[in-house]
Amino acid sequence: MVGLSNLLSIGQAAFYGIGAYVTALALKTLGLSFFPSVILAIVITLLFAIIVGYISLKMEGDYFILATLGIQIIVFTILNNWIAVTMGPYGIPGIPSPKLFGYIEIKGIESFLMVSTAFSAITIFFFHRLIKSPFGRDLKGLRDDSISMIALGKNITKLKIQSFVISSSFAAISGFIYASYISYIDPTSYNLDESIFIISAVLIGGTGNIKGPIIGAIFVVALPELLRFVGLPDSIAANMRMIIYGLTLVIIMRYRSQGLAGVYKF
Amino acid sequence: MARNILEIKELYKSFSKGKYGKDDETYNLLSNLNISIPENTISALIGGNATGKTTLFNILSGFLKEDSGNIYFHNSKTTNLSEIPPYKREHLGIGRLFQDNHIFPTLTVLENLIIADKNVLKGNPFEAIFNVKRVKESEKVLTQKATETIAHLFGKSHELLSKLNDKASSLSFGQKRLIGLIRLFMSDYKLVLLDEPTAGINPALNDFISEIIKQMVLENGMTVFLIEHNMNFVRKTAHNCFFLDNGKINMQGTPSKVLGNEFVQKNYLGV
Ligand SMILES: Nc1ncnc2c1ncn2[C@@H]1O[C@H](COP(=O)(O)OP(=O)(O)O)[C@@H](O)[C@H]1O
Ligand SMILES: [Mg+2]
Repeated sequence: MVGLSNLLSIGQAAFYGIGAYVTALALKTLGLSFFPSVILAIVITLLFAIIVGYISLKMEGDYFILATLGIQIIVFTILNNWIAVTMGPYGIPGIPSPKLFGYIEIKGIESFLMVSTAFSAITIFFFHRLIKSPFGRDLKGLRDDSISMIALGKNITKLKIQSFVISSSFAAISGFIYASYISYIDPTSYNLDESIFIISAVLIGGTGNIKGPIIGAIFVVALPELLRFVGLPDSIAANMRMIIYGLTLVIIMRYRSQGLAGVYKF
Repeated sequence: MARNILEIKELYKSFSKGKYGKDDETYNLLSNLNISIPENTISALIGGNATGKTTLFNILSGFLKEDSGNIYFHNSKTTNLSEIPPYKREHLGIGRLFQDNHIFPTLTVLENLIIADKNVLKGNPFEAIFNVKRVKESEKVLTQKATETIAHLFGKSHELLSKLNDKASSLSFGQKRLIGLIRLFMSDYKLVLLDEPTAGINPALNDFISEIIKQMVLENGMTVFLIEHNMNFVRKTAHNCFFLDNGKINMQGTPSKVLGNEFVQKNYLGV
């Protein structure tokens, strides 16, 4: 989505976090089962994205990036301080496993692997159709030449809000899987570092297609494992990891600004 | 004489002097400009470099805001364009060809044409996911319309027809310009603003472009308002000619009258 609409959001972890917290509350406090929880997580994140989108997308380019940074900080602060609901820095422990139709408990690594695979497949299918559709064409057009789009009568603010809301809502699904799998969440998983991690994956892999971000994600996830394999102690590996992300980003932006497998250059 | 489709009244536009100039140091680019464009005609705007011709078009399209003045667009009803956001001016039936090519480089030639359509999704992206059949049908109709338009304008064996699935970035400047012109036939425009349609195009094609523009008026019921530097082209193509000088229309009439005028010849044509 970043690549398609040229909207670089550094608040992606905020939406991921809202999805995770809504999931936690839905499962634990409301005692909802699998599908109602996912739907609630998506709907609440979507509503939040619409509000954020309307406010921040009236701004152009760099201002939009700053606005999403602001959102990121606001959401983190709320998660960290609204103790009555989020339990603040202590986080929410003991999130029950979601139950499919109220009966089948989704628990353990195999079940979650199946759930994440199913959601990934749905997401890839959804974005594949979207990219190939007239809507995807409009987003590419927006990325190429916004002046031309306006001259062709396209409401580009609406297009930007739509693409922002769609990509933010999908972050809620990741939030759902994370919260229900780990069964404990706290605000530090949804801070600026996490957003930067997500952007690194996207920029390193490349944007404008589906395989770019997937390759990027494999890279940023595999890197710590690789460092461990090489035999670096964890304390050094954590710092090494950040340095290597940084270096890779700089090198890729310098020599291959479309990312490893993407279409668009930054 | 036909009624006017566009009336520009007492239009003013100033810019600040240099990029780093003080804000209060401005100069008037357009001052008290008045133009009326008769419906179903071809009108040419001529004038020296940097006299504000493109700026006027950008004000009409809504990319720049006038300092004062009124712009009336008369279609089925009269609209004061100042109150209409840029993208909605297109919905009123106003199309635009830019002086510098504004095509979409990462889209294919075909996509560059059918992107002009605004009906298929009606702004609802979910239709693309859940109503695949309708979208497919609409795409088929649009593709057919695009190829038929090219074939009608340029003939069935035109090179663009074999490049439909090529990325538009691979086209030559002249071909990109043709894409911009063809795209105007994909919508039902009432008024098209053409900023130097022959610029960058092989001069051998000038007569051809002239024919396409006449076709816009005769076959498609459009009104054409164009900016041109090629005076032979203006003589051959336009019904009316407006000479922009010092921020206002200094002379208007038929091309032969305006281009034959002593003042225009001395100050613009350099004769
Ligand atoms: N957005 C803008 N801001 C400041 N100056 C501008 C802007 N747009 C155009 N100008 C200036 O206005 C003058 C006229 O430009 P333009 O309308 O493009 O001329 P032309 O008649 O050749 O099409 C130029 O000197 C240009 O630099
Ligand atoms: Mg110009």
